[in-house]
Amino acid sequence: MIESRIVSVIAWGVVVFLMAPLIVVIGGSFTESAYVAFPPQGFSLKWYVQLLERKDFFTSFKESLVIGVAATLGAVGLGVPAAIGLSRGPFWGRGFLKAFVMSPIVLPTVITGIALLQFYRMIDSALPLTQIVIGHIVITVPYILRTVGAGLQLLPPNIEEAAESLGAGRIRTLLKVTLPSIAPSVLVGTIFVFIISFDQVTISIFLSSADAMPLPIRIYSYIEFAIDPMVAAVSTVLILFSYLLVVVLERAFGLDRVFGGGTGR
Amino acid sequence: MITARGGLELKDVHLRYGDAHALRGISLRVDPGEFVALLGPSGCGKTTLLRSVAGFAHPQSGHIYIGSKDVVSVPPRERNIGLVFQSYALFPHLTALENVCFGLETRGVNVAAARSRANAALELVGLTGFHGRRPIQLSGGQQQRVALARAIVIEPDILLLDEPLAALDRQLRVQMQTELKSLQRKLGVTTVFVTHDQEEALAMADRIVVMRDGRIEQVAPPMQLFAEPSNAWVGEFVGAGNILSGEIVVDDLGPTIMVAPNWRIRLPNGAKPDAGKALFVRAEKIGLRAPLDGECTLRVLAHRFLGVHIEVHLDFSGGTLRALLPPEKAALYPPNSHVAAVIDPGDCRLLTR
Ligand SMILES: Nc1ncnc2c1ncn2[C@@H]1O[C@H](COP(=O)(O)OP(=O)(O)OP(=O)(O)O)[C@@H](O)[C@H]1O
Ligand SMILES: [Mg+2]
Repeated sequence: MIESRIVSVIAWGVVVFLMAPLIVVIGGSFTESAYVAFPPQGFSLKWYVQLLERKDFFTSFKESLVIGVAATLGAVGLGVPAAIGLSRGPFWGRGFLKAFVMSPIVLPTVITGIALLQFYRMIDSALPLTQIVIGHIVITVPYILRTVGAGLQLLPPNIEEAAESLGAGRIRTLLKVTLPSIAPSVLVGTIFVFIISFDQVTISIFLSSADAMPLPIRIYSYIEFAIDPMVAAVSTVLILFSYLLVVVLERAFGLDRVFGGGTGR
Repeated sequence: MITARGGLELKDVHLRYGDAHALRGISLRVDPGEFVALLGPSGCGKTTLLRSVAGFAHPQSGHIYIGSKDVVSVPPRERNIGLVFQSYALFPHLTALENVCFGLETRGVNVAAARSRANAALELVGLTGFHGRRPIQLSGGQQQRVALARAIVIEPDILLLDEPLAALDRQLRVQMQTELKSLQRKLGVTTVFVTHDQEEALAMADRIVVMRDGRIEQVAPPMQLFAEPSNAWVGEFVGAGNILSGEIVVDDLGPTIMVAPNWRIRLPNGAKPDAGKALFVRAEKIGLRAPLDGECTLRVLAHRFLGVHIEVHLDFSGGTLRALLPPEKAALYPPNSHVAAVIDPGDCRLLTR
């Protein structure tokens, strides 16, 4: 009895701790004052109106979406086959290869950013969006390897051999058994990758330019000059966006299943 | 109903994993429709043998015939083998029915026909009303039945079972033993069954293959294996017999074995008194009584209650013995008392060590 009360007090404490900044930001976006104030002074939508007039913010939001989707497709497309290969192929040098593809997660992101910047300079690349997408893929592939690798490890042993003894060839086994059974972990990885890409600052700051500037960098460069409630308005829009995304995922897959299960059983 | 399509034969199969010699010259014939149990201690190569037949382990030399075809270079998916893993290896994302249909779909059976055959197979293993459940929603015994249905629905030439009942509790295991055996009879499919549990092997198999360290020690029907182990190791491993060793001495009564300075046991009739042999006697054939003067005495170390019988552990100057007695007899000889053992030469066998 008492224990469960303590647990619920702690749980609510955590919720308040996590929600408080959001409430401050959302509240602050409706202020009439020229600075972020909480509780808001008066009520006004003028910062949202001002945001609507900022074409650059809208462009950056679109770029962030495009980058996020492209990076997610790239990281999943590379990471899932790599995870399967690394866990199933009995080839020589596997340990080294695994360490190699996982290295962006250990290496400070700053170093990866500098290295990529230098590399693009050297080859004189002129594809601003693609450069950022590749950067995001490099740092997010390890997350796919992690989640999918764990999913593969949790599969019941011998299911691929069972498929083979039932007459399935390699491709059929892959498509009908291996991939469907790791689908939940692929989905978890996909969500991670999109989120990491969507609010990526470190890599993007090295690779963005006037031609391609994802939203976090746009916000960052804006507050270098002014911290006004418009930033709070952008943040509120982003909070709403994430919330809608979660609702959609919940409707489509059930988040409990996605984040709780992991093995798809 | 399936009729026996062919037997299985292994000829001098050798398999090494690096330094580990898992199979050291296995030769075995399994007749069409026969049920053979592989019995042996952990690590003796039972699973490796099964995996070689299924095509997942690759012997360095030797031949494996299914029917009359040498399958050593045939990939697993073309061997037409029904395989049940110890872990069942059910597909987690598919329902019970879809699991059973899988092998039919790979064979190009159309969906409607596959479903009705899968339904029939599930019914055959006594699992109805669970078609739509995923493996996680089934109990161990139910999963085991799905795995079995999935293996038999493809009408395999050979059915291979790797300790399929090990995960079940005793009651369910005994029930499944009976059902599995009668199902195998009904299907007439050539079956190789791996088990740790010798009671299980004795109860189910037409013949038992006793393996040790990558080799076959003996192949015999259960009764014969129990009564006539081919060597001392098999005698001890199967049914926990006693092995008594000592010098063989010929005195006025005939050849005897001197198991202790003051204890000689006459050899069974017709036994050839060679060196390097030991006397084998089953625990339930040993009688106990109060010792006489000058006779070799044994000390009772402990009692182990086994339900119907009590196993009495004894030691003496020549080694240890185990006797199986009804509880009221065993009560006469509590731990730390001294007794004499009565062994009838007719119950003994002279075996190679
Ligand atoms: N993939 C492998 N690589 C190296 N050694 C192996 C491999 N598989 C089995 N072995 C070795 O081969 C021997 C036989 O193993 P196997 O699995 O056939 O034993 P088993 O009789 O099935 O044992 P258990 O009753 O414990 O299942 C063992 O010594 C084991 O360590
Ligand atoms: Mg085994």
